[in-house]
Amino acid sequence: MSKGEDASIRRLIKAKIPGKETGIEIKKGLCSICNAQCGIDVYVKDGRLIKTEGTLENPVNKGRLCVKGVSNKQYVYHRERIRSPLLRVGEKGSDRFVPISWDEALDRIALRLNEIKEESGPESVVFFTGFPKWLRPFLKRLAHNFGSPNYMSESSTCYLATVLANRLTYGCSFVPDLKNTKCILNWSSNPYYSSAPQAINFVEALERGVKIIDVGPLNTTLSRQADIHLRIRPGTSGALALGIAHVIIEEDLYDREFVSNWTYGFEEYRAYVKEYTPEVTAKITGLAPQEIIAGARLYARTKPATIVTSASVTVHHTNGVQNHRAITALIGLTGNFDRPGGNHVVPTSYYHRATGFDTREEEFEQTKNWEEMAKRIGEEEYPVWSRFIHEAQAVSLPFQIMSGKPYPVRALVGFGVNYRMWPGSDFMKKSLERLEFFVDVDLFMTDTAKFADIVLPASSSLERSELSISPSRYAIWTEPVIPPVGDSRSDVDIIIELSKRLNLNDPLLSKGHEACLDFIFEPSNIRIEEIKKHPGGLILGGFPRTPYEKYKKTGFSTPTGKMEFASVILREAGYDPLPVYREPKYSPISTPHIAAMYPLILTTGARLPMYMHSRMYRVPWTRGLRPDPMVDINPKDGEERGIKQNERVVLSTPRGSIMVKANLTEYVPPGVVNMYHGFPGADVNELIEPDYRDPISGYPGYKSLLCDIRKSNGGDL
Amino acid sequence: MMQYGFSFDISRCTGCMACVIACQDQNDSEGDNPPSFRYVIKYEKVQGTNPLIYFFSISCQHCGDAPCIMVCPVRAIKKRDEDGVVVIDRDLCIGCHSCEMACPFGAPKFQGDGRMAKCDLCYTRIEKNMKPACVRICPTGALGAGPIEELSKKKAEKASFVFLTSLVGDYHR
Amino acid sequence: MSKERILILGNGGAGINAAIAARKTGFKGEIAMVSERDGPVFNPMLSPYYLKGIVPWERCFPFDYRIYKELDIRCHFGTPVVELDGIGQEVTLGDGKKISFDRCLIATGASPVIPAIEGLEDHSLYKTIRTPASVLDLNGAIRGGGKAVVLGASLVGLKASEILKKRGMEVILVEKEMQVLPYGAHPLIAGILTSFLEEKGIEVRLGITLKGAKPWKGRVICDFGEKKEIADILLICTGVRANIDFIDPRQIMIDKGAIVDNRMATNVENIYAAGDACQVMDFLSNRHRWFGTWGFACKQGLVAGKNMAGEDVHTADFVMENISPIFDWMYAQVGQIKGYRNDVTYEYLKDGKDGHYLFVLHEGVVSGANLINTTHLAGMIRQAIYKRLPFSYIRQTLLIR
Repeated sequence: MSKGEDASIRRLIKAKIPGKETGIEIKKGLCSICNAQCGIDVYVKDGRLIKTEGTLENPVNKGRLCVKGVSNKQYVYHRERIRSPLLRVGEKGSDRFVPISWDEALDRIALRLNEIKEESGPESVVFFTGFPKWLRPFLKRLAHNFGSPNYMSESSTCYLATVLANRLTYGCSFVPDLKNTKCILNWSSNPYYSSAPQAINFVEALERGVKIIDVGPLNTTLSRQADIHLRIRPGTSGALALGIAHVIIEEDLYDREFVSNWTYGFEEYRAYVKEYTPEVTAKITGLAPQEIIAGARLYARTKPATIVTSASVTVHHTNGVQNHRAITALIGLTGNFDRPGGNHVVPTSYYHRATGFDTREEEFEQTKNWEEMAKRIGEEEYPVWSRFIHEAQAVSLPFQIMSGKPYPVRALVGFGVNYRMWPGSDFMKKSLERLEFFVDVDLFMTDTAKFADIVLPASSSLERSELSISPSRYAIWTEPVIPPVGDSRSDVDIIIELSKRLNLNDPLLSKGHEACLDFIFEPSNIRIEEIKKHPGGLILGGFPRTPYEKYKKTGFSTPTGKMEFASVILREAGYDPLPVYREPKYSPISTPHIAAMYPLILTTGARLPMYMHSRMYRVPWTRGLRPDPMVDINPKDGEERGIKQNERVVLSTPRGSIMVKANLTEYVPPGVVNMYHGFPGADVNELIEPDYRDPISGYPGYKSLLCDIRKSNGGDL
Repeated sequence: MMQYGFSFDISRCTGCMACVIACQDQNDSEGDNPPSFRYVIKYEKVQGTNPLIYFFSISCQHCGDAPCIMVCPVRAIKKRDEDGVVVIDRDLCIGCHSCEMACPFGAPKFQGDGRMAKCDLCYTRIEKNMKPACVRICPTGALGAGPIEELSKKKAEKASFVFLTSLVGDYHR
Repeated sequence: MSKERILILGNGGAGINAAIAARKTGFKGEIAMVSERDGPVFNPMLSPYYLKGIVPWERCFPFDYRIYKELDIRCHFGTPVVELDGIGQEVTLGDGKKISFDRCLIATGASPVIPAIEGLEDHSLYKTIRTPASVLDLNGAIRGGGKAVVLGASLVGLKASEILKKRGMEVILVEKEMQVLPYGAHPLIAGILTSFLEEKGIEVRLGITLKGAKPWKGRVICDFGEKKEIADILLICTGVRANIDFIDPRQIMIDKGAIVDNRMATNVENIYAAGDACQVMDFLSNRHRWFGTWGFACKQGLVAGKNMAGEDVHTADFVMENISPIFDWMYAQVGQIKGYRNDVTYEYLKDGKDGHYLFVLHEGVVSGANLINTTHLAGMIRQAIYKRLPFSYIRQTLLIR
């Protein structure tokens, strides 16, 4: 090879150009840092990942990627990756572990879990999964096979309460039909940060001239782009929705045909929203009456119109489920339910993807009837949750660990547990210490894993296989694109192996991951073997599109068979049947005595682009974009308190204080502060009481409570 | 002479920072290596009672008359004839930071070895019909790249040729 | 009629760039160049890097001999200009030769100022860093060990102290003002730099003047009044002055250099000036000032060259700038720190362990900044000064990540 050729190949290698001469190959993978399941082209050289890029042919992200996804190299090869099973030898939380073999680890776990089952029943063992989604059907199956009703997940604080609220009103869930709509009522979602690769839908909608009404206290890019931004006080969504309904009904802008033929409890609802005049609503929400009227008119008069909500913002309030019901009631009221360009009902299959396929997912997961097992954790406290959601309610877990009532919880088998998820996270941490046996499966030695007796190393999505089927029916089965880091294993393989060691005698599970998926997708005749033939994925053809207005044939899956403005189930369970508005448990109106000392409203957990809950903190690239825990505070509030940019401040609620840096920004309105969650050393969830919750779903009121900020005078708290 | 460049549509930029890390991933900006060749700044202003927040993604603009070239005492910075991309010969760089002072965009970055490194518009990728890493990732299509005659035809992307003034100008949407 | 002649006085960054620009513009006439020194263009800015061993000697000459041929320059090297008759359009050289011109560029650069101190009439007693000969002379004088006295805590003085320290000498940095960088740095920033220099083992003496110097056994006795130092090297870094003695001030307006407009033209038709020999308009003070950096010299030469070749181009007004590594720190001055006006306020910010910003504000608008290890913002702050952007803009856009 000549010198010139050599230099030119070096240049190609430096630029990471794939090809024979560079030895760089592109392999198809899936990103599992968040739940969007974006396709990633993984550039691999000599068995190592050297670069990631979005997969063009994957319709989920169409070649785009977000700041987190492009950090996969540092995420996957992070030095804190756990490389072998670990046995704790030091105090709980001490981070003193010794490596053990997989055989020893699994045998120890199986032995101990079966002992506990023998002694105090299978329900005293809890099976929990944190943010990872793909292993969920397998873990639930394992729990039920074991005999425990206590399969629970991070969805105890995210997303499922919106499903619950929608089921109460409509008997089903639905998705915004963005492609066909003319108006988007975006209720407190920031698509540009929460799922950036999919947010192009909003950019395209803007270019088509779609009207956008953005609701929420934060001033996002979509707020700037919107026609109307209704910048409400946090926690008052329900009141605004009722106020909008008031205008729509008063001005006769509602869909009389739909309301009279397909709804139940409208008169009750109409009488209730009569109170929510623009003036009353304005007073509660902090808006001007004209803004409410303008928003209501734009949404009701533009047809079709769709409502977008986020996974949790509307339900992270102490009145969360009812607030969410008040918002989504507008869909039926305006006749946008299950109509083109409105909110489309698409059956979900395989961990909440709206693909419309028939599956046996429930049959696969739920191997025992609830009646055959003990009562689930949280079942008594949250009966409506337990009726609709086929999981235990994890927010009740620390209380039951601590009290041992109604029965003791002794062991926890967790996948990606993070105690900082819980309100009053220090309380959850304490309860972890109380457990007799705790197994945590994770990629990293997290602060939570340090409390485990045995820690098992999980591999990332790029080191194992995974199935993804997107709402556009693009299916891909990935092969591992790089060898597992250390001795790590796939979560599902860990579950299957554990099932064997526990002697659970599950022939289907023993057949492995692919066989289980074939079982799940059997009703739609989808086979992994077929999907595997297309390494770049394929569109599953031959399936009819999900039609609109299905309710005209089948009615609604509610007790009355109609959309319920007044929920029969809620009435029976002793809750308000209407989507009533209640002030947040702590607010300037509900608790003026607390507000006198804590005059600012605290809202937490809104997405930052570079973080995904706590999982990107340790990654240098993403951490470098926002290295310190920072609280967003309006410049006006900052000035009043003599606080300058980047200064150390104390953020406190009646429950406690954390020290953070001040970020003076118009992102938050005056009177409101916004804090990202889960920062080690500055965990805002510690400032929230463990029982600051919505009474129907149990969801924490993360998005509206009271706080104050003062300048730090040194190392004090 | 052909002149390639970036385009930037301020109305579409959300400050998501994907371009920043895409650049680092492409150029292995880790450890002692220089920070990202691209960065994002935020600008807030209150228009009437309406607070507006804008973001601006910035890297080397591959200026037609690049001021860094002239100030370099060892003539290590050059403009490529093929595409007008401004490149540095790192072997010549002495780490004097003169370019850092000359560049209004903050484009020159310094590596652990004290020498300058900067955006090269991923010209090797462009030669292979691939987009620069930052453009390829941009979730909203705010960033673009190509021959500037083509870019300047697109109205919305004209913002690319204005720097700080565009931030204090009256862009809405 | 013979061809038009452009005459360039000086063979530095300004002179060579003027010639390059004139040819690029399409000038077909004769270009003649006069220089006292024989040899290719020398970049004095590189001498610290040469002395530190970063740059080999030959690379301190960024253009080699071939450039004169390529640009078809007639060189009159080795003899100084002694007289310039701007009106008569003729120069007289040291050897008596006279050269007429159509347009002339004064780009004769600057030389170190030697303070009027008893004993310094003897040039062998001290060193300077400016010309190739002086740099080689200094280089030859540095041996491992020994003591060096650096007179003048200018940026060059600081850099020289670093070099001498790194090359094994005990270094005493002496400044007659009460701070280092007396013209470019805010006292707070100067204090931080002083501590840093001391940490690096340099003895910094402020408010001290040299009273006299005497030779002693091949060394120099430096008399500071109360204290005497016997130095192996006395290095003078007290500033430079423009080489413009050949200008007749009755013809061409001069101050510390030849005064030029934004076309680099002097008040006399067809006479231009660029680089260290000239004074240009300061953006901030609206006065003509001397801006002595390599980058500015090149830029000014380019503009002068184009204009002499028949174009009509203007430079922007100038903003003072200086940037340099000092040991493993980076220091920069942007805009005016001192002497701009009285009604300014200062904003000091710390960034991490060793990062410092000091902004000078006039009515909320930035007019200057000192940066230590935060020079990644230098160019953008310079731009903000030009755009007269408020400090609040810098605070919220540049200082936040």
